[in-house]
Amino acid sequence: MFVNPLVDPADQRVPRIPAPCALTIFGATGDLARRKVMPAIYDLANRGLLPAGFSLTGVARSDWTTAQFVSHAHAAVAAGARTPFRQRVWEQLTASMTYVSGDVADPATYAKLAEALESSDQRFGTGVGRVFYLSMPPAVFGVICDQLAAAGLASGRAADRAADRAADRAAGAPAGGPAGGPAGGPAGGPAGGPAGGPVGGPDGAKVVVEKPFGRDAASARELDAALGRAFDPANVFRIDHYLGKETVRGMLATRFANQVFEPLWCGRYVDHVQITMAEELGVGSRASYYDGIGATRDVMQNHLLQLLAITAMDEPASFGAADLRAAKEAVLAATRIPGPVAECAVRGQYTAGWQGNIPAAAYLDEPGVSAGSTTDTFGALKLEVMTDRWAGTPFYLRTGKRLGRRVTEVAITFSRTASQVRAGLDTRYLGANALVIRVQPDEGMTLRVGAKVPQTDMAVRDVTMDFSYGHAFTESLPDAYERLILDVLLGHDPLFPRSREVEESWRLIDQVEEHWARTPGGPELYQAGTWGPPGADALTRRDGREWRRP
Amino acid sequence: MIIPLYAASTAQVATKLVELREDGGMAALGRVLTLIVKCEAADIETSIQAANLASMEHPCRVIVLTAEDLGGPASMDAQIRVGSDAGASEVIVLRLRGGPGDHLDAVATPLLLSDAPVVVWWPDRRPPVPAADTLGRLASRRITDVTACERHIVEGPGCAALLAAMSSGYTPGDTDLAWTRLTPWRAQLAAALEIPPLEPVTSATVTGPDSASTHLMAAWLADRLGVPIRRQDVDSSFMTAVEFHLSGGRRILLDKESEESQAVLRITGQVDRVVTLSRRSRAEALAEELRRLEPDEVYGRLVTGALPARLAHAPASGAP
Repeated sequence: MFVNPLVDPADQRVPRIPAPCALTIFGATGDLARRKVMPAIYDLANRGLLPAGFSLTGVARSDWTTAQFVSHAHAAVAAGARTPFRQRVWEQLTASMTYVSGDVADPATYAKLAEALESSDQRFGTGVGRVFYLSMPPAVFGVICDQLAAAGLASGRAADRAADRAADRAAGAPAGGPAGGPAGGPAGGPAGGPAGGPVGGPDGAKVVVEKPFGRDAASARELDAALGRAFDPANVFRIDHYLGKETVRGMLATRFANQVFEPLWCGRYVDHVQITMAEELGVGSRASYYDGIGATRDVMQNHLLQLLAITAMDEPASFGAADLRAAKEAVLAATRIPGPVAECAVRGQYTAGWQGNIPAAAYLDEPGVSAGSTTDTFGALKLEVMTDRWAGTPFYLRTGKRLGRRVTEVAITFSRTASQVRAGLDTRYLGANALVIRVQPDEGMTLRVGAKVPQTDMAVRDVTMDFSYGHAFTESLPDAYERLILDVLLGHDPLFPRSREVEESWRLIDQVEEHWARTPGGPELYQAGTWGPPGADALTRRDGREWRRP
Repeated sequence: MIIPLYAASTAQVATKLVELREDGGMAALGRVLTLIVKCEAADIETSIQAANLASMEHPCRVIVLTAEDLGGPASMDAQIRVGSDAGASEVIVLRLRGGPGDHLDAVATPLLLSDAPVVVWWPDRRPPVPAADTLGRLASRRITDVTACERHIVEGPGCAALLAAMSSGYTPGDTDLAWTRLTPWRAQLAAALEIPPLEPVTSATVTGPDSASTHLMAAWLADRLGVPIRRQDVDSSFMTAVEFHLSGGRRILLDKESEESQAVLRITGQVDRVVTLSRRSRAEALAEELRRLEPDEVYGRLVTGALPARLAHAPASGAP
């Protein structure tokens, strides 16, 4: 076993740089690749965190040349990168780019891709690792995985060993070098064997998929099976970009490093929790994907339930990948819908209105939306976490498009003190204490406490303390995608949800979706630019509570 | 906004800070430390620039101190900079004139943030023993920059003497930006050893000028690898290469031909790989320093172990 003498656990400065690898993006001309993935890759290159020996191959249907792809990427980087543009870095990155045009169902596409990867390996020395980023609708994951496996592209180690042997030959290194691969790793199979089977094994190629992870539990399992035909489960990285955000990672520190919070972080002191993810935008150009999926499947199943898991989980045994995941899985498995679904879930759809000073069309009038669509553009859900820490404390989740403003936050609302209800303190203007973790924008924390009103006898009112560590951060701090892509390349996976978490999330969402499918009438309407339909208010009012205005 | 306070007292400066905050209506500020910058008058602006950038990542109060003995009675001119003239928080510039200038700690003390850790940075001249310096005694972390000293001392004792001082005066909590600037190199070298053939290193060569950085690199490699490390002097303003000789006869060479942002990783029998290896700005290096406020154990081990051991065996001329 080779132990790298230059890696020193006591050395906290040196960032890890991934091993050589070839990154292939399916759907490379798409929106996500343009807005997030390309800028993130450039930023990694600029920070010197891309591996020595890296290539970027774009696959898409557009009949483009590599030069066209490069100029498309240039525009994407110019618009989205967080670090300054450096011509030399850009030239180096573009030199490694190749574009393969073709249909994902066509074996010829994969023959071209194999050729491109082989050429990249020879030119840039990327041999060891392969990463396939599926920036495509989940419907085509199966066919891509099967084709990758059929083309022998999904297995990593065999190619790696072939590259080593080629290098040995080229170097004229003495024969009889360490048999079984110099890495002496756990990769099975004879050293000189042919390219491995369809499943790459733990050392095989990696695959990255984006949410949604299916549209229900059954399709999520099918997706898993499709990915599993080509890739080892440990090499499947599901990107939930919320988990790459600094504030979300910071929540773990806030919770477990602070004696002033952790003891209060339970049902005894917390009255309820609200998790909000509100968008200002409408469905825009995403109608073809969004219509029929809706807000609840699109974001509640992943972002909101992941935020719930991080908010509600017990302290993990460690912050390592396995322990962190176990803690999240445990809390999701303990989460249930407390009562009839009709009383715990609300769906809405926006009608025409105003988004600030800009007129907004109704969902049904957006281009690409089917006539009479009952797709939910708003979802609200009441959940209960049946652990000793939380039983009896409701978690209210809501998300929607065309809401009052763009904001994502987790609000912990505390119970009132006994003295609040006793005589002597004038608390008519005092709300409950709250700790709000602002995920975006204006990342930070707000603590709402009671303070005496000056010049009064003993009147108490709410005052908020806004803590913004984040606002001080420059835009050059890594974006969520940058961190997550680096984690994929390194094979670090503490924050990527595994299939168990996905399945537990669908268990909850499926109950809601099934209920809605059975219920006539469709979603409640709400005017664009408001905070959702009346039913959402009724949901909390039944419990004597109110939604925050974020 | 820059608010000048001529012939001021520290009490006036402190009062003005509270006033500014009340007028500005800022309710809560997240600040993680106080950064004291002790520099020459000529370096005030460039130092503030670097400190402001670093404060974007680590919100802090910056106190810049200069002391000039121009004769005459002791006096102090102050400036408070906020808003676009400061980073994330405020900058206080204190220029002391006349008098002995040995009471800088007393000047800084009333202006330190309550409870927050104190870091001192000497962007140019390095005190012989940072931890014994009047300002250094206030701080848990002390950051010097030997490279800047090298530039200041045109005809001085040279690099070896500075390194010897760095070593003999070391106290846990000291670090030097010459070491910080090596981080990207060290990351690339560590990653290079993980590319097959994965063979043990039998010796290595560090090529560059006779500078603190190349000495520190050689010392680090000697410490980690336990094999002979040769330093090869070249007339250059930056470190140009590190080469590993492997047991199988191959070599790994990280080769930086120009001060541009890139270097080439050459491994025998493999295609050349281009990597990004930028020279870091002072602000970037300072921001890295402020990320961790505990002593850098690795640095401590080098300057008390491998570095003096090598200096004792190799004269400053730069033989093996």
